[in-house]
Amino acid sequence: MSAPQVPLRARVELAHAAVQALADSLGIRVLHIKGPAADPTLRAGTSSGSDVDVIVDPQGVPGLLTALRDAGWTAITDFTTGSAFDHAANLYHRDWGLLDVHQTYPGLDRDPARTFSRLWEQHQSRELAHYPCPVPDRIGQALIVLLHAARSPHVQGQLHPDTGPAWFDLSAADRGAISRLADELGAQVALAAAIGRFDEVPVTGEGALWAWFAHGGSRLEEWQARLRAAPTWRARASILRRAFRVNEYYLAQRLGHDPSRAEVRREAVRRLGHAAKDAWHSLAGGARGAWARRRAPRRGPAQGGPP
Amino acid sequence: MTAEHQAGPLAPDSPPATVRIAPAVAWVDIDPARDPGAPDTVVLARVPQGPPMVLSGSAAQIWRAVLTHELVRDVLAEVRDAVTDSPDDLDGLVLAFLGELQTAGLVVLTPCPSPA
Repeated sequence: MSAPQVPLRARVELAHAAVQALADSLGIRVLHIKGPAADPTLRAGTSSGSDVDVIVDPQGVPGLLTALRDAGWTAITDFTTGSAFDHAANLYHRDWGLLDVHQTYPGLDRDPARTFSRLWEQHQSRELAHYPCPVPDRIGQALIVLLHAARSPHVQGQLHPDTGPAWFDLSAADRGAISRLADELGAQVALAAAIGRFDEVPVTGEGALWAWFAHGGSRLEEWQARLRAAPTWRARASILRRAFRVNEYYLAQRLGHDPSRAEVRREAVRRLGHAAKDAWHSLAGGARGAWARRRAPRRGPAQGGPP
Repeated sequence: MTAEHQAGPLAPDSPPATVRIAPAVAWVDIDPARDPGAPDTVVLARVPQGPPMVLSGSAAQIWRAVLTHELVRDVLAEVRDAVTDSPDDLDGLVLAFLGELQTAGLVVLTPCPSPA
């Protein structure tokens, strides 16, 4: 008898239920976000997602990760190797697929414990695979959808399609509630980036990173933006250390086998080479620009533009 | 790991009176109308441990009947109505399958009360 394939929608919903059951058994508070956990009226597409995302009460993160590992989940990335925001650990389970455990959410990372409590205060329950799973209320979900959209590159200058149902199509009262929640949780800059108000996004600090997400750029520019967004020297030092660390899981995926020490070293050298190449292009581009500016005839602002 | 279940050929001993979904069981009914190209199946699992089990055909029909009926005799009647060209021992097959689901921890069967 052949084992039939579990349809993706079923696997994802069952995975939400599996994570919730584990959290329930430990008394750990978890909020399910995105995919089937999200209010479908706040999303432009109908995709039910391909993985599970949960925000965990920061106090419960270590306990939940230990329990997940005991339950057969394997870590792919930890909080420091996952993304620019150190916000999520990625895990994989043979039966349930991929899981992102968020200790905070990009844009809502000023005070993770307060943010979680605030979202939990208004939480609702949504049945996933007929299992009750806590989710943020509609306003909290809309803010999370928008912050997720803010991390997606703008295609041909267009905002992410989810910004329609999660912002522009909502009532003024709902938009006001989302803005107030963003203010309360320190997410004003990220929200402004999500809805295209770049005049409200500072070019330094956190704003640089959101602008990089929106407009794209080289890996070097990403790391520069991450450094600018880091609030302390210690955080900057940590970013620099991690910039050249090789993620062995992704390397294994690319190679098709577990990498040897030599392969990890080669990858580290390759990353350094790429960074050097990016830096050279950046410097050369800057020098070419400066040279062109010196040779170009001086023009007033009204005469600007290509010759 | 998955296992495809059709009602198995086990003989019932004393027919149970009621059936209900066991605690900590999650399931997704895949409706081909909502998931184009997907097979008509029910995927269920005990959570968090799993593994998921895929029910199709008459097994999926039995699960759906369990969702709407508490009395086993009503489950048997609904399946009888739904299955065309049913075998003579259909009730026995359904009861055997319910026994398998109980063994897997997915349903709870309670026996008929003993006569006073």
